Parts: sequence; structure tokens; C-alpha cells
Amino acid sequence: MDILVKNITKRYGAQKALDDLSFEVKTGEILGFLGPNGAGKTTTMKAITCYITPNEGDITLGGKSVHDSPDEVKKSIGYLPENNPLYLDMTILDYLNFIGELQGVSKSNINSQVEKMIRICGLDQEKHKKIGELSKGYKQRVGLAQALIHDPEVLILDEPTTGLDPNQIIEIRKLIKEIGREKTVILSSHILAEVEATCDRVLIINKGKIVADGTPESLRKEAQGTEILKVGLSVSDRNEAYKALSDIDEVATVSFAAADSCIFEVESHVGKTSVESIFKMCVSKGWFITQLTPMEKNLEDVFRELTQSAS
Amino acid sequence: MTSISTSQTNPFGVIVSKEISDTVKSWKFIIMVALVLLTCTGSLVAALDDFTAAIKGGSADDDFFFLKLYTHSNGTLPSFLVFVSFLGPLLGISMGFDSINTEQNKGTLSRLLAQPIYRDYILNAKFIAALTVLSALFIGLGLLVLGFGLIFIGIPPTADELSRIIIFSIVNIIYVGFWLNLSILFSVKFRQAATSALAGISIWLFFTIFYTMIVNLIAKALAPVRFISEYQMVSFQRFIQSFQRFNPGQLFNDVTTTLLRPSVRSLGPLTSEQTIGAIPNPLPLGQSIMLVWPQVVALIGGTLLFFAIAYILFMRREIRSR
Repeated sequence: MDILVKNITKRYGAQKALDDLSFEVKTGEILGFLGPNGAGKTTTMKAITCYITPNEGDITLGGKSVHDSPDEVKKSIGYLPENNPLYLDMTILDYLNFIGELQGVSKSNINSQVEKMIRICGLDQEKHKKIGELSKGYKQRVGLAQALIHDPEVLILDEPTTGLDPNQIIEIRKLIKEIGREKTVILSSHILAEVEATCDRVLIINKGKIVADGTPESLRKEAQGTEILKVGLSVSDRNEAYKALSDIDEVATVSFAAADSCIFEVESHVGKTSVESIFKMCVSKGWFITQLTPMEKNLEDVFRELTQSAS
Repeated sequence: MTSISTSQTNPFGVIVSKEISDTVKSWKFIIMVALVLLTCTGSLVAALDDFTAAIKGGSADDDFFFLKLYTHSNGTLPSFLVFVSFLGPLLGISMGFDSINTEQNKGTLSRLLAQPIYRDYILNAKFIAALTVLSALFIGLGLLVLGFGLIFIGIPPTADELSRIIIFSIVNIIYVGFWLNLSILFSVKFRQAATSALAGISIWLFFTIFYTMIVNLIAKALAPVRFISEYQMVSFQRFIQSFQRFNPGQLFNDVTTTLLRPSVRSLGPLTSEQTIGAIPNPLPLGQSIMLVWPQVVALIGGTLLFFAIAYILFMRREIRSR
């Protein structure tokens, strides 16, 4: 089911939480939602789940508008809110039954659907326990199970791995990846590595506006601009190597990567690559290359660049 | 999406049954029920202790054995009626003071609202669930007293007595529903459950203890001079009584006293002329109901008013997760 967000604006008093925001998510896509605190990630997710109504604009899921048919839209969405609020006095089985019934799962199907979710989310050993007795990781699994109980076509996960230990994070990510093969998933997170590892596409939002949209790869490349190489040479005189590198036509700047070592950071001119020239220069001088690595910007650099420059 | 959404259950019924289950399992309810059961059993024992003395004759109410069970006491404990009018409001407040704000503070309200249900289902279901539990409790209590009475007295209640007891139970439910709705209103208005509980208890204390004192002070200040006509005195008394009837407890007492003591023929002041020639016969049930109908309507009106305010506040409120 495709999600189409069209020019939505949400105001809280004078403050604009969302400012003419538009994007589209295709069926079977896992979209990562990135942004600093207060950027509008959760507000956007709440608007998609019909939890809040935007002041302007519209959101459609499979052609159904959140304004015109909120019940239909809610039925096709599984939502895991931030902090994962749960009824702690209920057992997992009771809770999933309750949410399933609210979501309109028929009486004849509810037991099998609950059992299926318990199996998928790895809750079989704990299903008779009260939710309050579970560890945070298991509570998160319960949250995911409730979001999936009615077999929705769209899954919206607001910071699904917050507070989990590394093992639990890996398990939940794996689960999301598996789910994402069949469903449209929107996921928000502060953990950039998580978005990079889980999502097909990343959308960076700041002050209610989209500042970047693309695959993690394309965003990195876009932000890259010029080529930066880490060059390690086996030479006795590091100053001579510095001068030789600086003399290459394609090279814009050279700097020492570390004191007392022959490792340099070489930045090429815009649109040019200096790998071949560096190699040829070393061959001609009989220098041994210990390292020649392109320095890539990671998603964290892209995030910082985009969100800090905008603020 | 697979075809799992056919012949679905009614979401309102689902929320009501969850709320009933939560209420019945909650410690606050268990404690309150234990308290009510204990005190009412105590008052029943106190009523049965010198029951023969209570029905030995001389009063128009003495033929209504079963009604005496609710109003009579040997003096060691207050009567069943007094206990219900005292503990009923507390029970109502305890059932509603945390119904909305606790859900909001825990964040579960946002989880519920993300489901395909109408927003007012939540508030309505909270009210219906609590009222259902309270109704079961009060009807159960009424029948318990009736059952003990049957064993002790050995004769069945008359149709008039049974009807009065049933109507008394309904009035109990309305009265507790009044306090329940007030506490639900506070639970919508105040973010902290402790604040809404305190607000509810404060209002109950105000009406139970201070309101009568305030009315007495006003009455003293406005008391007419010594030499006034009988009619002026009656209109003054009526004025003071109208003040007293702003107290829901007073309305409840008017209704229950009239229902359980059929000899009560009037709730207002009477001149001596009006009482001349009156036969101290019990009123038929229909006449008793006519006598207290305004009080019953006022209690229902108050209940509806509080619910309407809570409803509007809840529907207009922007609910953010934690």
C-alpha cells in the first residue's frame, strides 16, 4: 500500500511542527525517518496514523484519505508509538486479544492470529506472563506484535529500538527487515546506523521540512562533493612525500593525517580523481604505498551537515 | 491485507468488558467493596438485633418489615441506609478519579486512540463499565439484605415492599453514578490522579460536613423576627430547604427516606392547618414516587451535566503521548 503525504502543515499555536511536508512511500519500501529532537518525525507519524489532524494538506494510504476515511486508514496501519505504552497488568495473550478485537479481527480468526504474532515475535515462552513482568526487549516485541495483530499493510514504528540492549536491537532490526519484505514500513530513529542497516530509503527532516531524501548510499555520495583519499606511503622523508603529493595537478589540498606518520589526507579538485596520478607518482619515485583508501562520509556526517546547516 | 477483518466484534463492547475486568481485579475496588460489604453486613446485624422492638407497633411504617431492615438500627451501628449514603459517594469517586488521566499518563490513551474506534467510545465505556459494576454491587447488596430478611422474618416481602426496594437500589445507583461522573470529570480535567481524587473527596466532604453548617449560618442570619405569620415562616423554611437541596446528599436522603418510610407524606414544611385531620397512613408507592420525583430528576440532571462537561472536555482535548 502506497503512502502519499501531500503538503501537510501542523501548527501548535504559533509554532509550525510540520511545514508543507510532502513525500511518498512505495509498497514494500522501508523508509527511515531521521531528524533531531523536535524536527517533526513523531508528528508526521501521528498524522499518518490519524492520531492528529494536520491543519493543511492531506495524507492518503492506498488512495484513502485520513480526512475522509480515518477508520479505514487506521485498520490498514500497525503503529508502534514512541515509549511503547502497554497495559502492564494484562497478560500478553489478553492484551493481544484486546487489541485484535479493537482492530476488528473476527472472533473466528483472533486466536490463530494472536498465536501467529506470538510465534513471529518470539513470545511463546512468555505469553502467559503479565506485561509488567517482562524485560524491555520483550515489551518491545509485544508492541510489535500488537502493531501486526490485524495484519496491516503499513507499519509505522516510532523509535522501535530505544532502550534495548545491543542483542535485542539486532533481533528487532532483523524482525523489521523480515516484516518489511511484505509491508510498507516507516521507521523513525536517532540511531543512524540502524536506519542505514534497516532502511531502503532515508528521509531527513528538520524543523518540519524535508532536508534530504534518498537511499543511504545516494545521500552519502551527494554530500561527498570532493574526493578525499587517505594515502599511506613508506618513505623516509615525510616532507618530500607531502611536496610530491601537493604537486599532483588533480590534488587540491594535502594534510598530515597524524603526527609522526607518513599518512596523508588528500583532497582532489571538484569533479576530479587523483588515485591514478598518486599511483603513477609513487611508481616513478619507487615508493611503496601502504594505504590508499577513499574516505567516505557516513550518514552521521550527512545528518549533522544537513540539520546543523539548516539551524 | 488478508481477509481477517470479517464478522468483527463491537469495539465498544470490547472496551467495556476490558474496563469491567480491570475494575473488578483492581485493589481499590476490592478494598472499597470489602468496606461496603463489611459495614452493610454490620448494619444488617444491628437492624436484626432488636428487630422485634422495631416492629412492635404504634407507627405507620411498622407493617413494612423488610423496609425496616434498611432503616432500623439498634444504636450500635448506623443503619444500612446511612452507610450507603455515606460510602456510596466514596465508592463512586474511587471508581472514576483515575479513569482518563492515568491512561494518559501511562501513554495507553494514545495507543487506544490509534485503533479504529471513535474517541468517545473510551469515555463512554469507562462510565458504562463502572456503572455496570456499581449496579451489580448495589443490586447484590439490596438482594443480600432481602435474603437475610427472608430467613430471619420467615415471610416474603409484599409487592409494595419489593418495588420500593428495587427503586431504592436504582436510586442508589443514580446517586453513586452522580459522584462517579463528577470524578470522571475531574479525571479528564486534572492530569494527576491524586489531584482529581482530592478534588472529588473535597467536594464530598464539603457537602457532607460544611454545606449544612453554611446553610445553618445563612438561616440564622436571615431568620425572621419573632412575630411573623405562619405563612411567612413556611416560606422562610422553604427558602432554606431549597438551599439545602443543592446538596446531592440531601436529595438522596429525601428520596430514600420517602421510599423506605412510606409514612412520610411531605418533604416540605407544613402548617398546622394542613396537618389537621390527616390520617397517619402510609403513602402508596405511586404517591411516594411523585413526592420525590423532582429530587430524582435533579440527581439524574446533575449526573448528565457532569458527564456532558467531561465529554466536551475530552473530545476537545489534544492528547499527546508522554
